[in-house]
Amino acid sequence: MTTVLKVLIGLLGCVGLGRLLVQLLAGRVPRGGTGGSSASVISTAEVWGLSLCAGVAGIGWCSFFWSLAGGPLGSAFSWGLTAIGLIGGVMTHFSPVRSTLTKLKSEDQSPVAHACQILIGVLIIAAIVQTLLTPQRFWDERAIYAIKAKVLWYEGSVHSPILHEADFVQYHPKYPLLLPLAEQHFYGLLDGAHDRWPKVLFPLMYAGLVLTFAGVCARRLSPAWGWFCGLMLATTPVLMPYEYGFLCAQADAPVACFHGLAVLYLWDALHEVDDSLRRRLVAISAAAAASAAFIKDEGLAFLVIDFIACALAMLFSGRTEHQTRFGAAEWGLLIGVAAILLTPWLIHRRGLPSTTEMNYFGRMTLSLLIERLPTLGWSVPHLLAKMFREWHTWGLHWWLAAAAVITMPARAKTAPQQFLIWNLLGTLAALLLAGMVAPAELEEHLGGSTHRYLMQLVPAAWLLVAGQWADRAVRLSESPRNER
Amino acid sequence: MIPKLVTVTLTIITALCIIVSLAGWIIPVEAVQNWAFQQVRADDVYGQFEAVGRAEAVWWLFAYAGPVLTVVAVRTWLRCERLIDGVQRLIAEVQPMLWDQTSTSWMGTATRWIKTGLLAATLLLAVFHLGGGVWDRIKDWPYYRLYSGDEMLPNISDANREVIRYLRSATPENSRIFVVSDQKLFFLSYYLYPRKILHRIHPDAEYLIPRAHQERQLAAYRLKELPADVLSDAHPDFVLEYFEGPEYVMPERNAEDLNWLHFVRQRQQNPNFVPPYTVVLRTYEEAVAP
Repeated sequence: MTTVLKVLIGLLGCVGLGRLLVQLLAGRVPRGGTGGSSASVISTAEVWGLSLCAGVAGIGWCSFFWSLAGGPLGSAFSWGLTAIGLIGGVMTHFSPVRSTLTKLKSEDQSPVAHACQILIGVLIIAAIVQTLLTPQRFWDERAIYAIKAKVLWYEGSVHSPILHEADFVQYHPKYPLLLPLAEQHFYGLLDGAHDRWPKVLFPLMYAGLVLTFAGVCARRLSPAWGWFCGLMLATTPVLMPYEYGFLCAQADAPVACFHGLAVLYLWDALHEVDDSLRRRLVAISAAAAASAAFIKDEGLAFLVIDFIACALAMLFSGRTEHQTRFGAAEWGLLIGVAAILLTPWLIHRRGLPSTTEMNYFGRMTLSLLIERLPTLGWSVPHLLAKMFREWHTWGLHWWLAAAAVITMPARAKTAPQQFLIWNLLGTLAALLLAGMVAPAELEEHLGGSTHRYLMQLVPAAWLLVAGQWADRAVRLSESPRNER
Repeated sequence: MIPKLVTVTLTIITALCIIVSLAGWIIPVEAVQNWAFQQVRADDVYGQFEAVGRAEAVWWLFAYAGPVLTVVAVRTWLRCERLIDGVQRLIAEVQPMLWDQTSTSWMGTATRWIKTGLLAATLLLAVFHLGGGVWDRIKDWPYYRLYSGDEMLPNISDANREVIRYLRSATPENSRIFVVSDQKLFFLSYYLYPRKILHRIHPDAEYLIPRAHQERQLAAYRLKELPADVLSDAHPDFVLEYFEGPEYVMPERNAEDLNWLHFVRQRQQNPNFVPPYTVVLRTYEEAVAP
């Protein structure tokens, strides 16, 4: 019983910390006197969804910077961080700024939004219960992440000599530490390495992703359609209840969460006409992208792809207001926030051993790419099969995304939608590229991981569907000034 | 007509929920387990183990989810009129959202059908998967229950499990154990920490994924083949030789470590058992002695 109580306090502290971070990043987002556009008012669901994700990321980043600076990890630090989260969360929640975080009026009146909210609530409870019914039991979750969490808990530092020993048995010693640090935070609270309890963070990220996705779509598109799309995302089988999704402690679903948030807020920023609000949305997006890169190496590639996709969308969507408005400040924020967060980690990881590392970036040479070009003959059909032929196992979202683009080609040319299309194409190409340069056997390497990689792209695919098939999307993106 | 149909359906659902809840609380779990046990062949021990565990999981589901569903069903039944009104408003809002009739072109019609069809199929698929998820957890319950991973060592080979338990009993915590092996040792490292497991991976095995039942032989260093200074640089307290693959197992050494043999015979409850794989644990000094 004491354990359950500690976990509950830990979760409250985590959400409180996230609430505090959201307030710092987006607290002043809702701006009075903008004409009351619902698109510029962050809804309650979005604030709490974002707080859940920011809380998990916040624990990881705070623990990392603290430990990097020489501070000891362990019970004292975990309880201290929890106390900060609880106090900060309560203070933020009851501060005057809270009044600007308003529930959308139209959202209250929409029976579809209301029904979807109930169903999403049931799904979140189902995810939490199912997650806690098993201990950590899969290969990656133990061989890569849980072992690092255990070392960090016992040794109390990211500088632990054992993590720097090339012969110490752990898979991918250079892999990022956000999840291990978040897991050891719970070990600190529970004063023991009980690997079932930290799993509760994963359905928390599921809840955070779905609520934020629904919240953003509800204010940007329409409450009914936004919440309906949120429900669609929540019911995607590969995310939940597939046992390698949010029900386990592997990193694919968390990357889906943070990469999804990064794409969501960049897409949102591309719609936004208010300079201050747009910059804050870009900052949130950059922080989410950096968090994805601090969960799994794919996140680094996704960060670069986000940047390129945004530039391509500007370039090919014609000279619109977006092109001039998404200027140096936005680009600077996108790169700056991610760089500030990630640079210390990238410097630290240079000292870690490279045993079993694939070293994708280092191996990417023109000669190797040309030599391995024939591998596409196997990997492209394999990728398409996972996306389209195996829909009954992973979900129908790729069919929906393709259908949405084909049936609404004009809308697909707008900057925000183009950004999503370039982003998805870029991330799919990255997988093929990884297959070409990896030192592992191609069919074994991609064969066992493609569906988990595709899992990371699910939120972006659903966002493409949401934007394509929503009525208000066109109005917002094509004539943003009229919205005001 | 619609209100009457809704009322009847709700009454049936409410009654079912009450029956399920009562069944969960009135019928003792032992009776359910006993019934499940008798449904399996007498010689199928694993089948009986699974059936008893699954029956218990279903009983838990009935006993705890049943009352929650009953409260929801009764509440909905009492507010039947509000529900009907809500459903009608829901349909009124969903219809234009999914079935936009502003476009009369063939493309507009096709889009309507594709959009509605695919979204409906998505919801239907989700129902099947969520049901499958619940069934998976029921199937998992006999094995995982609320045991900690450290206690039950889930989802690893029997040999790995025995070696982990042996090392826990034979070495002190915080010891450093250098292992020469043809196995991937991640689970040993995870479950044995704070004992530090060290291993020099053979370059030919670095990026290979092992297969069940030794179907793929991974290249490995034997103790004498280790590159110079690897062992001394690791300054281990113990050295473990652990081989399972046919190319590396040395049958004549499978009974060399008497402590291991004693341990594994006790576990198997067979005084003559000799494991088919090689496990030899020695102190560092013993291992490097000429």
